[in-house]
Amino acid sequence: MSLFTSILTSIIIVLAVWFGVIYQPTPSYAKPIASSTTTEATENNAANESVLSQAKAISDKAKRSLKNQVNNTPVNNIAGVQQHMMISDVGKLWSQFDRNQSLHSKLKDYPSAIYVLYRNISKDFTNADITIGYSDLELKASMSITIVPNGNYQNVISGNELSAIQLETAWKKLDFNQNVVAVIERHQLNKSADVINVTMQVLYK
Amino acid sequence: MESLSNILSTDFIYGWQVWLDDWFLVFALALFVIELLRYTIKKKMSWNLLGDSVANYATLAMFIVIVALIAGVYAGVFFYVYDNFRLVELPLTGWTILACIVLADLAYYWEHRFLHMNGFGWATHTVHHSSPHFNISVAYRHGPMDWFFPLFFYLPLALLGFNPVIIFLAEVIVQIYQTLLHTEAVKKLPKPIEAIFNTPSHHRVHHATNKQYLDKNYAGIFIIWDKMFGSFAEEKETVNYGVFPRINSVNPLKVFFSGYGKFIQRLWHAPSWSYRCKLFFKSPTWAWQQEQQEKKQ
Ligand SMILES: [Zn+2]
Repeated sequence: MSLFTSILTSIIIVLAVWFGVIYQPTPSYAKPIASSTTTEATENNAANESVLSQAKAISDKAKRSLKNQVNNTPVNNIAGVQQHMMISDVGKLWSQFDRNQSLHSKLKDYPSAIYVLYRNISKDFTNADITIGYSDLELKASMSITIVPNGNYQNVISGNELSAIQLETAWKKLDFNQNVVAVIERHQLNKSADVINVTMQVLYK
Repeated sequence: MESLSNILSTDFIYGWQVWLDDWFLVFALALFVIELLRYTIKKKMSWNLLGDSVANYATLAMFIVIVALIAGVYAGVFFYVYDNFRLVELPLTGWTILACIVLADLAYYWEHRFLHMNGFGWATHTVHHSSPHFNISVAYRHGPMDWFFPLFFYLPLALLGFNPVIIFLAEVIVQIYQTLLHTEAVKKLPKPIEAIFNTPSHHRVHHATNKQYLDKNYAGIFIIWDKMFGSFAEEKETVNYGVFPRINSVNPLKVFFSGYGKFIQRLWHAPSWSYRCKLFFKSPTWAWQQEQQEKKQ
């Protein structure tokens, strides 16, 4: 093969492998219907980049039609501290939450989890209305609550030892092309109040 | 197959890369000891071989110092491109890693071929080729700029949406596979393996000075790239290792800087500016031929 054909062949190989990984079998929590629609879309078109966006549009449409079929909202109401702030400053709200003795004293028993809810998120994902608190069901006295938007939440990241940095970088995994209604983190606790698992989920419009 | 679709964390992948990188060096050292024993039994042990091996690990030490200095910037470039310019985001799964290894191997082929095709790249890669021996310590014989050229060949992977941690893991895997090829102890592997994968036999050809073997077998893991792109040669005649002009030294500093020393010397003595340009872009064989002609006149 001449140098030119060799390079051309290489580029074709790269594109073929690349399309392969883009449309690889998706993990079980991703929606199977959406991914099969995506494959159809690619088969009907030549391999070029516009196909990608086209396929994506179709898959998004399929996702939207599926939406709200499964309501898996992790918690209905959160009671705790709330503020509109930079997402990167969430640490400040955490210390406010930690110091809030009147809130902790209202707990019926050991709390099972702490939730962090982000709503009214700015387009560039820099600031939001952030709430940190417990499920209102775990509190004795009724107090002001934040209602968590209902819908089909998708997993973004989950693990037993996620650092603050990992949670922050997880924001980059969100689909910028869809409207984000809410993002919620669930910090699961054991009896000695250690975090044993963190899950971040997103609700798209 | 299911497990290849599971989403992995970047920490997990990075951990693997570091683990492989560290423990493989220990493993390779053990293999090298076995090779030395083999040479002793075969009565092929010599002071030159020992000196050459020491020089090889000394170049590795110098290379590690350079890498420690630039590693942050190197990784930073990948993350910058990935964060700002990626076309899609590929999930962190086993499938993605496998695909990345295949593409990184193709990138390795082209980078390696590039190093052999121009004077600037060859000035660093010649260090790796200048040993007259062929054993696992030669795999660690690095030139001062060996970190620089891969950057341009692997960076497009970040653009395609491979997370840099996956790219670095793939780079390490290709590198480890390549390292294992540097041995005379393995003659030929079963036919199907020799047909698809790069093997010690194929790589001995790459290190040869025999005319029919020159500029052949650039592959990392898959020899199919060479077969496809017409740069393959089968090992038939016994291989003579090394480069022209011969280096004839086991002094680590001389070995490490020989390539750029020679390159600068050639630039200095160049008869014209067009000749100087050609030294950069033309193959080292061209420069050598010019000098041989000059000597004849
Ligand atoms: Zn080479």
